[in-house]
Amino acid sequence: MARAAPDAAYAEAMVARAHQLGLAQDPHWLRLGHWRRRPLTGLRSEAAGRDFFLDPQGRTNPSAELDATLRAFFGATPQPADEVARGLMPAFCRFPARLVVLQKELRFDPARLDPKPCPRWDEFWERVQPESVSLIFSAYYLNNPASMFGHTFLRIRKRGPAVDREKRELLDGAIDYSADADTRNPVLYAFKGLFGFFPGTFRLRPFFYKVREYNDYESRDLFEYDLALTDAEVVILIAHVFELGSTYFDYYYVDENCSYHILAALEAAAPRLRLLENVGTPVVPIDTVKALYGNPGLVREVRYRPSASTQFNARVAGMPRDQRTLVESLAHDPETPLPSGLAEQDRIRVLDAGADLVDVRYAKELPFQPDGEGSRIKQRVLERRAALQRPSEPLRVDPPAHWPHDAHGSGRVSAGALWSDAEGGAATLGYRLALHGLDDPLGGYPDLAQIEFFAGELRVGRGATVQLERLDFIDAISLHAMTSFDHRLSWKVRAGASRVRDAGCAGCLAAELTLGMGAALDAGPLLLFATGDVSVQASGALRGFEFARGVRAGAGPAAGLRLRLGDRLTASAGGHAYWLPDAAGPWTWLTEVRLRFVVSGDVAIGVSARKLPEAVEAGLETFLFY
Amino acid sequence: MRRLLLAAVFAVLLSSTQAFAAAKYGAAGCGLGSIVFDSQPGIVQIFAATTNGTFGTQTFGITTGTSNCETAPGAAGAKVFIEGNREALAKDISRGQGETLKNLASLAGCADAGAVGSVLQKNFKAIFPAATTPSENVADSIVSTLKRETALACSKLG
Repeated sequence: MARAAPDAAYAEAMVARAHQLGLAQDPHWLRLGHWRRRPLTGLRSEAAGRDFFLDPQGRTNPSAELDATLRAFFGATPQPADEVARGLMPAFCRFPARLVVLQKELRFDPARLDPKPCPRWDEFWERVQPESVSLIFSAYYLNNPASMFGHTFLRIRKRGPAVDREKRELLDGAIDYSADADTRNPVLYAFKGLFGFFPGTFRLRPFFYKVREYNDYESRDLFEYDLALTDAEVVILIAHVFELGSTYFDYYYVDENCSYHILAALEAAAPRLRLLENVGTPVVPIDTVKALYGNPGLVREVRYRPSASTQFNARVAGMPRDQRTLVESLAHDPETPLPSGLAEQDRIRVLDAGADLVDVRYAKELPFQPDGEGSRIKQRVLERRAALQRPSEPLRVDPPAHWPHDAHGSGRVSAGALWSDAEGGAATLGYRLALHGLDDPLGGYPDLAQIEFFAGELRVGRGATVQLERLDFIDAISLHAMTSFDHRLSWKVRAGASRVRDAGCAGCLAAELTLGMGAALDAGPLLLFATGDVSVQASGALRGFEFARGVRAGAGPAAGLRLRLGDRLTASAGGHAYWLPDAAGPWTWLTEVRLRFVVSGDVAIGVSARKLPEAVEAGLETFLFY
Repeated sequence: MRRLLLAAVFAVLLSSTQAFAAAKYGAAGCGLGSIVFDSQPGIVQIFAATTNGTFGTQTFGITTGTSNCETAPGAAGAKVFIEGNREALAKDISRGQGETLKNLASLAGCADAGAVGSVLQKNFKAIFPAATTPSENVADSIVSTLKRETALACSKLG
């Protein structure tokens, strides 16, 4: 207590200095506290855990929080009894980034602080040993709605001897922001995820868990963006992540998601960076990667870590047909004899590719079912491989031709003109919230997938009549090219509403859900796919079932093709024919052809024509990606 | 409004696409199953949890103390590494080379990753006698093999 009086005086002097400097309105302080002004809430911190604030009004009052922080640092206010009782660290240990930043701004005498032992911080620091930071983009994973848009996290490279980085990379740390889901009901899950009912927290774990999870378990390529941060910025980032460990945020999948908070943490560490202002809503991970490039010099190197299936493809590329057959049969029957004439190098290659194929094919089973079929096959293939007693050549995988940061913008608007034999001429306006269509420019997105969210088209006809032609909540297509190794089915789902132009009605807007399963062939520039679809449509004006007028169900084949003629020109065609039991007109169908030309990076033009049972249409459109 | 729209989208998606394998939730420890699925937002976790029923049992707090699944140099860290990388490491050992072997050699303080690879490759059957061999046993065999082969000079295994 003897020290309290002079320290209290010093604390007040620093509080006064902070006020004088207007520090509470300084962007760096606001970023450290995650205070942001929003239309509904006013100025408020996005951090929701109360332990992140020292002042009871701290969440909405950056100035009061600043004063309380300074007073706590200098020991002018003791730690509240309830915090002590809950085992909470004293403020001095809990807010290392605030400490560093305030010292830098106020230039106070560190000897006047009220230091405390901080074993947890020491341990955390010892674990991380940060040297530099990369932002990692994990590619799209269509089989999980939460991962459809990709994911970003940070890798913290550990200090270490200047050896080949490959020798220690897996031992680095990974910092990840994610939701702590507490339900397994899909509808509740979607609801809670969208409306911020899950708490989101930052976590640190060894980088190898991320590699195993994304590269191996989910077969997603990883793209690393090494960031040119100063040593001080790296330290503040790590210290700030430690601060965030004491709190949580409300997780919103659409905007305040993993990618948003990763950028917010980077901005808090390095106030010179302008990241979130370069990202719109929704916050799509790929846009946050592109936002890095809004800061010249920030990305100093890009690197690529191929997924398990990319590695497998590299192993079998150029392999003779007879050896490929052996690889495939090893993955079924690990005792498959290798011909005696096969050279040892080729035996090694075949067994190595066989093991990779088992890993890809049984990725979901291997970590969990050591007594399963996949584990049994893999064990035997590896035994045979090890028995050869020779090291394999290191696998070389070419870096990708297109990187995520080269991708077109995730949002899209379009405008055009249309002629229809039923309704004459019209102007068209189109919008797509996200993300990528099969005809869109190549590169940065999965080439065999379409992920369209909230896409629609308006038609403005004669007399300025405005009509909604189409509005899809989702239109997703996931194509798996059939190869001798990959027999997975392709699938698609579309949910939304569109105009019906057949015997069911002439131009009524009908809600629609269509699901399809099928197969795809990828022959270089040419992509072919076919699915068997089921579809349900509903509209008040629709002549459907006898027992439920306004509703009809259809089933039938659909097919499409796409031809990439170089990087700029894409031609495509497609159609479907559905049988409609018990409805007016037993069939409905559609055929269409499209041609798309990329004028420059984010601008494309397209022409299209389509025929439906009661309409023929042709259109010209300009697309802008942003 | 925007969120309301997307809520509908996700509900449709979640209920209509894909059958996901209901993987067995891993036993506690530092294996992939116990670590990865505790933070995964998404349906994988939802299904993974159906056989377990709880979430967050292995949560890594940043400030709430340490997790045991860390890879500080030494035998304990090496074992964590081996358990977490088991599938990839088994493959690399069978090949006598690969990234997991190089990192293991760094962690164990061995002079030459190539030599580590060839010693472990030679001992593959002893280290991985069966696919069902528990990861702890695999980790023990690897660590004791590295210690036994003094020529490897693995200095950080104690």
